[in-house]
Amino acid sequence: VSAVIDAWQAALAAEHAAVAGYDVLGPHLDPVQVGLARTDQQTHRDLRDATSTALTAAGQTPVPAEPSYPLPFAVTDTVTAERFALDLESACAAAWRYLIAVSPSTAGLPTAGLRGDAQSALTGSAVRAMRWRRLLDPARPTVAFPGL
Amino acid sequence: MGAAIGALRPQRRAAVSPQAPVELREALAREESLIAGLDAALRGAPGEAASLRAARADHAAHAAALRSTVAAYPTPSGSDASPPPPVTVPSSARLRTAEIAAAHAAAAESGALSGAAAALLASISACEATHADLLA
Repeated sequence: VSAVIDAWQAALAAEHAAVAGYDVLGPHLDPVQVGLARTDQQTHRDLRDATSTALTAAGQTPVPAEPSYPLPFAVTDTVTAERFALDLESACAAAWRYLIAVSPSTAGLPTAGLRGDAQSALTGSAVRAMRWRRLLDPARPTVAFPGL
Repeated sequence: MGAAIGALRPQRRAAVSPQAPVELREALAREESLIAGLDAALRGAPGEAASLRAARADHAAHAAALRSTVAAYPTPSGSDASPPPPVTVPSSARLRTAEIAAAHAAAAESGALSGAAAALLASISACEATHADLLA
């Protein structure tokens, strides 16, 4: 169970990072993409809150957001902002996929719905990642194994 | 004694090992069916080739991963029949519906399993959702 809680907390940490990351990249985007980024960020905010609530209900103390997040590279223009958004979504997808890998099947799970929630979160990040990737590389917008 | 040795080395005891979970075999058959549909669409509608080719490449990767996962189990006595190739060229809407259905099926199959197989099907489900979004 500890591995499940650790993976669940890691997924929450990834959602915290995504919420913070969209604040950084937003100002560098074109007006049309800003709308996309705002919607994405709100989705991560909602998921962060729902995950915190679920962890608390499971008797855990949800990990807080970090005071600051170091950037993986300088975000200075539209392309680097899009790449950063893709990074954030990929990190979230990986975290939720890992939670699925370490959780028991739905039949044996005490926390009902966790696997379904993790799948929804993985799928959501995969779709958002595809939309950012499509802007960066229209010829190859998808990956076969999101979160891997 | 023999059972104890079998428990220690299940991979060498093909006679008592279960065959691949039905979820994995059904997922593989579905991937092959999706590939056949996309091949038919690519022959009939070259205008949308980029998205269709991307989706086909992903499904080929899914099928390869599922095939190697299934191959780790002993071969069942009765081999699964290959899906018949579609006779008509599927429309873009039909392909999208197939991707959505496949994403739902793979998510349900993932939920019934655990570990690497569950994560594989979860990823495949997420990928198929991206195809549906791309084809929208």
